[in-house]
Amino acid sequence: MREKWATRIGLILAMAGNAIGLGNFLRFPVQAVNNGGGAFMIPYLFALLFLGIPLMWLEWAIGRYGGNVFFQGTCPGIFYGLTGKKKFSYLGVLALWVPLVIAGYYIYIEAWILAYAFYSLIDHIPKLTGTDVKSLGVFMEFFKSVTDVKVSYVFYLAVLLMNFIILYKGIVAGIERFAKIAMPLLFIFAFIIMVRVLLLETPNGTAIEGLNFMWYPDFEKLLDPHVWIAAAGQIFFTLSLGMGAIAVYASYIPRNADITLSGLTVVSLNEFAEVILGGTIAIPAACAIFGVAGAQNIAKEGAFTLGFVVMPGVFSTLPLSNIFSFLWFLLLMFAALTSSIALVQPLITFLEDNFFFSRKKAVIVTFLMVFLLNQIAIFVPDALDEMDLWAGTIIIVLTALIEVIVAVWVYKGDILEEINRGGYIKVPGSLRFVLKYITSLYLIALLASWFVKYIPIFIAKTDWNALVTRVILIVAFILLLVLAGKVRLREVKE
Amino acid sequence: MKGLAMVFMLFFWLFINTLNTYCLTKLLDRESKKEEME
Repeated sequence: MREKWATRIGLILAMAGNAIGLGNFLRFPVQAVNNGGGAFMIPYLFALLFLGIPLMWLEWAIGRYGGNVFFQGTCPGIFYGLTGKKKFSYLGVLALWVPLVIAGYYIYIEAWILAYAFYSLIDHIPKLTGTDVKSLGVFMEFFKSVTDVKVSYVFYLAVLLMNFIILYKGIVAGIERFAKIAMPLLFIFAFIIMVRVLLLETPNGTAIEGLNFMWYPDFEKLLDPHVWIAAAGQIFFTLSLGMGAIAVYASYIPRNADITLSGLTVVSLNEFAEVILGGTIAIPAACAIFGVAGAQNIAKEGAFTLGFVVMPGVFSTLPLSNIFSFLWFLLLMFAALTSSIALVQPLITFLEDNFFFSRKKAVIVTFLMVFLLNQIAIFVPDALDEMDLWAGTIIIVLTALIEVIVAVWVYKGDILEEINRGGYIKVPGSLRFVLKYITSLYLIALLASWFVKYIPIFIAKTDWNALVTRVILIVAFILLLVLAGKVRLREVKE
Repeated sequence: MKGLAMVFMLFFWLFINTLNTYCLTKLLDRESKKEEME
């Protein structure tokens, strides 16, 4: 008997935790500001309607189908079941490899967040001495010291243990229970920080000016295809699509339980966290302290600088600075942890479904693999970027494209019927057309664009660090391919 | 805030909040009806 989510609220919070990650609070504001401000939201809305929501429903549907019809929660088994052809299970390996590799570096980033939360709590974060961007130098030095392996490794072991404990306890007692605590706290902390940020006012600027900077539409940017690609990419990342993780969670939903309204609710909660909370914290705070010109330079430096260098600098200027800094990093910690457990779960499910491993054994074997990949990300210079480029940027889109091809183009049944089964709302028939053509085209455009953008970088990098990382990633992929050869479909007896 | 920026921000905030309210109220409603039937 396959384990099922105990409550609908638990399922929705776990799925929302899966989707809501660092990207909501750090990546989104940077993307919006660099791609036309308010105007960026037009392609963003298009991508949400024609890429994000359709793919979200598709991943929920194939997961629930796989888990309930032939005891398969991961794409190798789901693709085999949907097509009736064993060769498709090898294509599904990508949806095991991607989350495993992303977990391979994401958990290390979590360690930095935990370190910052700890140093905030003991009031060990530097203080900002000026109001120009140059005065952030001390925070950059602090970031380097925290991410130094001698400091960060202890925190890494702590976050690895947290992930392990949650997953060891299982779907209901581990993931669902944790999501029920972490997600409400995440929203409360984000709301507190948002209100505090909105009250910020310095001689350099105010948070309201920051909102103006964030939302002022630069319509000329709409003529740039890169902006449309950036918006589609943001929707893709923020909803955690193409990782196979959503389908895995959905495989623990009963066959006739709703997924249409639940999937839409998860999307809307994610958008609330991203556009309303995420869009009102980091950039407006940076504007209030460093002025609009300063915030413009900061946004160009990227999401990590914003989260780990600028935000601690902003909070250090406030009364009770350590408390606000602690809340900020704790909220990031909850966002990251609820996502990382979703990244590790696919391999656990795969081992349980196909090799009849007990939960305990599957978790231990999976964590051994995650641990090994973590060591690459930690000790091989630039390995983290290499892993992010392949798993977190390019293959992730390819995986989603394969999901659409298998579930919409190859699958003989009607995927819309599967999506609508037991639904509290009925999805219109036009979704079939959207998935078949528009979502597919979006994914092809994303894939082509990133291929052209990143492949020259890949070819240029031929140092030993890059080669070692690539060899290990290929070995991991071959290992998973071999395991996929053992996929066996089973009839589920409820 | 300048007018156009405010219009954009309010539109998207309203859109997301409306979607959230719709989803959550409908979900609660359906779940409570399901419990009653059971």
